[in-house]
Amino acid sequence: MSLLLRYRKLGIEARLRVDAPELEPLALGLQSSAVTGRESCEETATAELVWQRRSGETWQIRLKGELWREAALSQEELFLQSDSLLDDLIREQLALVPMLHAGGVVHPSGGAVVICGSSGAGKTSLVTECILQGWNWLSDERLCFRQENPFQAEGFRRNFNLKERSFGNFPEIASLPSTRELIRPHTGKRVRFFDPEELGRGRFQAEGTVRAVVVPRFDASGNGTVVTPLGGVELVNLLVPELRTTEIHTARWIAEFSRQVSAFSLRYSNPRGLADVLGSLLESGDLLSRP
Amino acid sequence: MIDEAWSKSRPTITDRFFWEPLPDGCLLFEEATGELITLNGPAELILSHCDGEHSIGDLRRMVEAELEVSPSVTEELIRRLLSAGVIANEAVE
Repeated sequence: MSLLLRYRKLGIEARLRVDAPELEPLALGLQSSAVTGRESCEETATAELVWQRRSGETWQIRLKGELWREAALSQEELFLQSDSLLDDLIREQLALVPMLHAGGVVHPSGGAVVICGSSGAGKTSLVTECILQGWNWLSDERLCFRQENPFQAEGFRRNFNLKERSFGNFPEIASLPSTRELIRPHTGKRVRFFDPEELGRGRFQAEGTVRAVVVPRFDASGNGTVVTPLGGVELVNLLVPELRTTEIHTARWIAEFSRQVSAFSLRYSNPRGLADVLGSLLESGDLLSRP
Repeated sequence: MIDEAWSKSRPTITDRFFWEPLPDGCLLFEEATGELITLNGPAELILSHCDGEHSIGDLRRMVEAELEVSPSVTEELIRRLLSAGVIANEAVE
């Protein structure tokens, strides 16, 4: 018998079938926050993603029935690659929808903040800090804007991955039951995957109305937190590289978004305490600069 | 003579780009290529007056008067708009 896991994001289902029983513990930790069902199944059951033994202790992925890459995979590679492939399966169903590489949080009193930036900017750290301070979450990585209302961000369920640089800022993550620490094969860097539900049950929010955009930038020099307003052109230039595609619908959306939503750059050295800064931005929309 | 011809020429906006205003500039999108270009305030002011009526000399004077931008910067912006295909200047091409 095999194991079938069902994932649902943005109303779209993707399935993973695990044909090797020894991989089941690993599979149960994969994007556990997005799992909507798990069941035993035959090896013939339909699934977009399938994990199989290659030979000995090596493994392979079948993606939509085809062997995905010729090279045999370790368990770490299986997990890391499948984490991305699951998201890709959802994204390909929404090819013409603006999807932003960004995190998102919702203040307990309402009002969402989009946290946009390239890899390493601090999206996961800021979202994690906000959850720990009682905020709800939309995503640490991806937001969708497909509704009639261009300011309505839709959340994207997935497990977070915290980079090694941030381990010390969030020691509580190490002891969560879901936490799985892996080393990325190509970079040699450690990451911790964890289920954000374990920081606060029921805090995932399917959508939120965006009131502000924050573009974080980690500053190792430790000179406090500095918030600076961003202009419309600056915001567009920062958002465009984080969009998957640009077509006319996306261009219209990004322009409307940049005209209406307050945007700030946020230079910080420690993510702890930044939930208060984001809360202040929502309340005042004013420039804040903290020594 | 070339400079004078250039200065008197009257550029026009091409129809390659879809145009959306921003609070401090504008966004241009070329559907055929997916290229997205942002323009700052001075560039947007130039673009909005590339109507075949205003000469490059007019544009230099207008941008200097309204935004205190030097004529050399305006020249450079016009050349960039031409190079990107946002405007055309048939008189000197």
